[in-house]
Amino acid sequence: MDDLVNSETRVVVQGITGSMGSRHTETMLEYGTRIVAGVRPGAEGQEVHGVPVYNTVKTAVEKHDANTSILFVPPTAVKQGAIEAITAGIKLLVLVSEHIPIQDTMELLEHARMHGARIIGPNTAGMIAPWERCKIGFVPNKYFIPGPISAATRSGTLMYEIISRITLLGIGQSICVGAGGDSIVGTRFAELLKIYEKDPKTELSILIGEVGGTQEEEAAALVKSGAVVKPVLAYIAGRSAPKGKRMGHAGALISGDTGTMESKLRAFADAEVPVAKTPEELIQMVNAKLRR
Amino acid sequence: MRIQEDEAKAILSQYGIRSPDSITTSTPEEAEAYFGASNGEVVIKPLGLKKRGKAGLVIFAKDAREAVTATKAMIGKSVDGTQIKRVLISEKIPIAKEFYAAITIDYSLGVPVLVLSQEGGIEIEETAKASPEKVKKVPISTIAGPDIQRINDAIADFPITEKQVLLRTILSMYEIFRKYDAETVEINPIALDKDGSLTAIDAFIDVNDDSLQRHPELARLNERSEPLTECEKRMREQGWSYIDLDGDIGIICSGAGLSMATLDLIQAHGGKPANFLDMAQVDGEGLYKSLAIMSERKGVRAALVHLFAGLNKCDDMASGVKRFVSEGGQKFPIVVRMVGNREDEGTAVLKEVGIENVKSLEGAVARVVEASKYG
Repeated sequence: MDDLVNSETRVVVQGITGSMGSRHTETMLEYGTRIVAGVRPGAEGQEVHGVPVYNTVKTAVEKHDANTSILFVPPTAVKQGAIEAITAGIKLLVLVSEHIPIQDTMELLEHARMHGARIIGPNTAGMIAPWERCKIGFVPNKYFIPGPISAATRSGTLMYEIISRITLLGIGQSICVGAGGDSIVGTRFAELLKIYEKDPKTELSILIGEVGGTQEEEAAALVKSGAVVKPVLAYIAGRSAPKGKRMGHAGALISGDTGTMESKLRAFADAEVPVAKTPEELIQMVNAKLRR
Repeated sequence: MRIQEDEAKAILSQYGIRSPDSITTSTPEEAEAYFGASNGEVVIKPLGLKKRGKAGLVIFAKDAREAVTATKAMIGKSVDGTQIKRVLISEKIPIAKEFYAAITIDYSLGVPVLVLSQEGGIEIEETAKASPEKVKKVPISTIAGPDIQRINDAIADFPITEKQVLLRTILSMYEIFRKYDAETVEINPIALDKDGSLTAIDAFIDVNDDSLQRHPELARLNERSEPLTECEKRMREQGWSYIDLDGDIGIICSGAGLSMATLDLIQAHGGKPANFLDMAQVDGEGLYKSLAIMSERKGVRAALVHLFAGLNKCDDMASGVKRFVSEGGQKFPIVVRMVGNREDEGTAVLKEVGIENVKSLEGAVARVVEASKYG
């Protein structure tokens, strides 16, 4: 999929009868997301907030032409659920669960690659596209308004903090995606930048990164290569993070020379991507860039 | 979680990969007895440390006296804050060649990868950077399993006559990697002796923390890893992600990224965070508990409560602060910034106990840093 969501996006919620699944189905429906079905083995025939429930993703796809899925299932059940969705023909999956065993993540990602499906996450608050009134995840509805910014983040709360303050300035968003806090994620910053580059509504992309891993470096290399011409601004959390400690996210771990703040700052400097020292500075940079 | 050398080798041996004869001990007497029973030189290595060779902590002993002296010197010694409690004493074996072999994860590609080098005993990351031609990498499909042809190609120029022996070792390592939900299975070095057989001289297995729940058989090993501080223990019991740091400003936050950003801002303002805390979905009850635990932690001079209510509610969270303060548990100044859902209601609840909900993040940070310095 070139664009993540569009008017053809039809969502199935796996685990819709659970408390998380049911609650977030409600806020997604409120926002405007087209949720066509829910899945819960053994619960076929029920309804959750008016959404019909089926035993399998396959049935949901057959009956409602669902093409996107979000999973509210326990971490050790994600692999099976994701593979079920992928083999049923789902092309975009949002995995919100934290603490998925890493080998399960690798395995389901391999299935996704084989079937041409895209995975967002794991360990993400999901994504939101205000122009499309489409939210797949649990980012709070009210802080997002349509506008020219697209964001990629490794942290949900930090995105809320930054985007809500940008929204207060009257600047809205096109697509905001939580790439996920894990050390392996399905759709990385560089990939998201490519999507934002093609999105006609995006004028400016912001990257909300953190220490650990190499996503920021890859995104910087992509900008440097010339493949991204729209402006990119960045903020990276974790300047004070000690080496070798897992800072909440499995992905936010500096090990040896990999994932250090220095490496990321160097890469962005090399690509001439401005990096804000604080969230406030990023907000000011966005404001300055879009003020005409 | 790291499975240390002795236990890692025990697992390797179950999969047919042998190691030198050895014992794990914490007493010089056992070291002496072991030396007497072996036929020559022994190697003494501390367990529980990440870097040993570089730190000069791998000792060769030629007689019983040396073995005892080395063991005595090692036990109880502290290296980078970790106390050595046990040592591994093994036979020194004759080595013709040394290699490096690991099954690990390429995190950016998201696939397992076999990493090989004809130079054993190396720091693989440094070698990969300095002389990438010396390191071979073969990605592995988690669905199809190892591609034998590609592995054979990778080991084709290894100076070993029986290539099958090396291939078998690699396949066993991958089996262990899968069986134990590992992030890394490393043998470094793996030694080739005169008869063409391979021996694991040093090894470890890193198990993915998120997979430990499905490995009850490893719980016994987990208990032996580094002890948590009292506060770390209590905070983690609540299911929160918590790390003690050495500053004096307690941080109560939700969301890993927002927590990290808050720590950064405190440092930028000249303050020193006492901890990292990501409470995930926080409510009034949770906030009350975290404040109670924090107030018993030594060395905290001020605390910052910084929360973004995305799905939860500010007034509910504020009720936790109110309860804590009105019960008289407060031992240091508390600065609060909470934004999001029902923010005004939350501000009103805080006001009832005389706490201002600071509007700006930077303002809240400046205030808590000041409080930590001047009370």
